[in-house]
Amino acid sequence: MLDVHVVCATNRHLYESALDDYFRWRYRCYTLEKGWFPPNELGLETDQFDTDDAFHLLGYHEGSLVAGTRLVPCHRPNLLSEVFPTLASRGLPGARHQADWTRMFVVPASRRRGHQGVAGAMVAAVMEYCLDEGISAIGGVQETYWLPRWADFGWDVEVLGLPQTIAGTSCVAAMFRCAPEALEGVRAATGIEGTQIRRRGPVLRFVDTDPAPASQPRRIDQHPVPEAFL
Amino acid sequence: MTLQIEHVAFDFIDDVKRLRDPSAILDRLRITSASLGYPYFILTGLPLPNQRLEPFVMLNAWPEAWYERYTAEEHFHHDRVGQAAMRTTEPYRWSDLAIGAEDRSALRVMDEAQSCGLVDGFIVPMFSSDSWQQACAFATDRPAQSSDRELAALHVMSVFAAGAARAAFQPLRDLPELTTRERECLHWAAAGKSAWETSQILGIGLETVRTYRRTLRTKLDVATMAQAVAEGCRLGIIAS
Repeated sequence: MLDVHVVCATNRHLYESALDDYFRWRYRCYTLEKGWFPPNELGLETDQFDTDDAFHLLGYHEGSLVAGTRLVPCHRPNLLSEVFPTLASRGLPGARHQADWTRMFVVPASRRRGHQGVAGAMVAAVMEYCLDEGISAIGGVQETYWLPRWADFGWDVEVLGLPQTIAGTSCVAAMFRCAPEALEGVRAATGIEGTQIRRRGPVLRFVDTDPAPASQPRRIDQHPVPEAFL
Repeated sequence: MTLQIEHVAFDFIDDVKRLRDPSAILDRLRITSASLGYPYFILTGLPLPNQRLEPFVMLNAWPEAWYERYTAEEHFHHDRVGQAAMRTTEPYRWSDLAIGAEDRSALRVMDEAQSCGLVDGFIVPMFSSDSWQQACAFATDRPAQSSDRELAALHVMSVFAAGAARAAFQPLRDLPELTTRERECLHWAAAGKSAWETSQILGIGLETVRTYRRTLRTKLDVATMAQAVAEGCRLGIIAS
């Protein structure tokens, strides 16, 4: 069970040192471990999609940052649309209620095999967030070897094109339908039973125009501030 | 031609998602894999060194004589091609592996494959992040001339076929629902802890732990805690 904080343009001032941590972990995992990007002096991994349009989910366990990931609305420039459009021969998802999902990481000390660990909890949090926000589908570029994992959760997976080898690894563009059954499935597989998403301060809705009113007024949740921020 | 192979793959995926009968899934995959030059395949879990292959086989479209030979001789444990599936996330062909002259048992497996008419193959490892890894091993009796795109299509189609097969053999809704406490007791049993040790760790009464363990065994339909641990691993409830 994690505390997964939603960080966006309007509340990011409350998470300054947390975001520093987050981009440092992205550097450690994506630049150093995976070797996807050239090293830099700052030790932070950011790209052209870390803009005001991005929503970062920061996963905390007992006050420490253990996982993170990024969601960008599909009608905004995103990794799949700008860098890997050829992976989506069937067409790019471009709707404001779809999310491009990238840069998921779990800190090395928290990684374990099986669905019961931090990775599973983080995926459950992502699907919870999607249902909260009315996101209809989530996905994007991923290593093809991740596909069986979604089947374990009972997720409905749509591939957007054939896999292609990118830097030695087979990658594919795929989207997952967001639905209550998808949340039940990932929760059943990972043992997560309650809500993990935390919203602190003024938080934007992911879907930026919504003709239908929200079913409940948005509250600003009071949650204990993780030690990492203090 | 490019467009056509994509249509073949996407149509296959749409069709196989709706299938819940293993022989229908097998037939549907075989028609397509044969048209791509690989008329034989086996979709199977990968056994540990002390286990036989047969209990893990989900879809078997290998030539009968080869399957009989392979399982009777327990070839998997010497088969360089099969063993490689446990060490890579990426699909590979037989020709991608170099088998040194000193690896006699691996060479024997390849020789026997050839004597059964098989000359090449394509293996797709699949990790589903619980303790059970699978692979789909395609094979052919003609020299393979598949393009990268055709192999990419086989790759993704086999993943969806495997998903459908897993759902056919083990529907999600049949996974036992364990409470948090039951899951904790199972986790500590897997770590070798007794009921008393578990009660100390969790700070609850010994009789309470015994009750949780009894309910666990009932839900998992087993007689002993050791069996409960094995079943928990198999279902992906606990990591091995």
